[in-house]
Amino acid sequence: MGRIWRVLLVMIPIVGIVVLPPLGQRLVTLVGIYALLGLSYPLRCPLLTSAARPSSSRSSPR
Amino acid sequence: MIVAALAAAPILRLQSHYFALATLALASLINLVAVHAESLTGGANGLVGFTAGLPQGPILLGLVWFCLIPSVLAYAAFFKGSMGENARLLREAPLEAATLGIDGGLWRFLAFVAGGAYAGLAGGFSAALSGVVSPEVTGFPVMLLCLTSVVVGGVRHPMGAVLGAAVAVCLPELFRGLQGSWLLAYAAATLVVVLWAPNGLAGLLDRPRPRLPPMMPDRIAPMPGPQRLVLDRITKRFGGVVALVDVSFTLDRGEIVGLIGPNGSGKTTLLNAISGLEPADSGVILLDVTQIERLPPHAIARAGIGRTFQTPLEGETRGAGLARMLATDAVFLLLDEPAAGMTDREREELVRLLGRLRDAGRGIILVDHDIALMTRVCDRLVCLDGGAVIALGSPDQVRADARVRASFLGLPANAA
Repeated sequence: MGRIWRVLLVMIPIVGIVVLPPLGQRLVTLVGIYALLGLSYPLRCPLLTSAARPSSSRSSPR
Repeated sequence: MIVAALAAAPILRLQSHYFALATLALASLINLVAVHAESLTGGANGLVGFTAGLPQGPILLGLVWFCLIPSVLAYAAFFKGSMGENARLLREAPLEAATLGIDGGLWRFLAFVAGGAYAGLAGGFSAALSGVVSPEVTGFPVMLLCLTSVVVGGVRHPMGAVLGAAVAVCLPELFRGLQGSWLLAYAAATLVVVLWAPNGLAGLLDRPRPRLPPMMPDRIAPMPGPQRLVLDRITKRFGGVVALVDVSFTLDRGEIVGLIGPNGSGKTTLLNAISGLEPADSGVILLDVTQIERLPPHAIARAGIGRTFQTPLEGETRGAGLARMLATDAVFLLLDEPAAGMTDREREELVRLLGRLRDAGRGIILVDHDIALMTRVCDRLVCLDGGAVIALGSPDQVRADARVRASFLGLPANAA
């Protein structure tokens, strides 16, 4: 992940706390919560594959 | 996280879309329990009035992002390194991952539990922010919103979840004038991203890095490990079809054995049986004196048997599977048509590489239809027909065999 992304990641909450009004802070908090929830999806990507062992009953000799 | 660990055992036995459906069913079950166990959950109205001691405002904001920032950075570091390569391979080619020694079951369990931990953390913060724990959060619309927001942001980018979350949170505010119709705008945005930016918003903003061609080693170092692979009366059936019948031969270190035979003769099935992908019904496979025929594929790979497949992964250059396998500690290599689709120059490079591997003490079972190539590089040939060994010996001996000439070479049975 590049430097610009890292700066953006750190700046979002800082700007939220320092600059934004309460409604804006609430939105930034909500973005963080949704992002935490969203992080679980790419982690589970390896699950969205078939299992490593093929089903013998469906296979045929090659 | 605890619920995820408990649910993982039955759910992870399922594959692909069945797995996705099972997780949806589990969420629906939790929703039903939450609605009907009123004394515990407050029923359909949920629980309220518990936020007195919980952080609010900028403190809650800081706490949420204090958890999120290291998580995103850890995610980026994880998927940048070799562990990330393993995860990508597990997702895109689970069979190949298993034959490289990656324990897919363990990975899936850990990923499922880690995903549950993040979801639980987000749920706790959400309750503190809204002041309500309602069964609505386990509903299908919420799950769909979470899933599509990640797709919009970019599933394979560390910042994808953050960008997707920003879109999911800000769109309703931007389209407040549309009232309930903001969902239409969100659906349109999702469609646009899926069709024209499959890597999401983060993928659009990041410059793609060129993929490097696989590096074949110039020198291959000798490697300790087992000295002999023994196949003893390997038999495999698929229902009423007998794919392998009492196949027996040995492979020593520093030897290349070619496996030839007509289509459907059982060559790939034999490689699958050795690598554990399709365990033999009977017979014994030994690495020196250790029986391996009942081990799972990743354990067989770790014992020293590597495997390549006929079809390369999408977007990979030729030889990538071979290069990946050479990066492991495999001493016995099962190569399934590695020369398929190669140019003459690439085939020459492959021949030289096979020679270097043999000189470095690797044992190789090579499957290919090019009898000239096989004769040139193999020390011995084994010809299968109908799942049985019909000839075994030096390339000249096997090519002169009457049954090989008739069934595989398409020549008159009697040599001129």
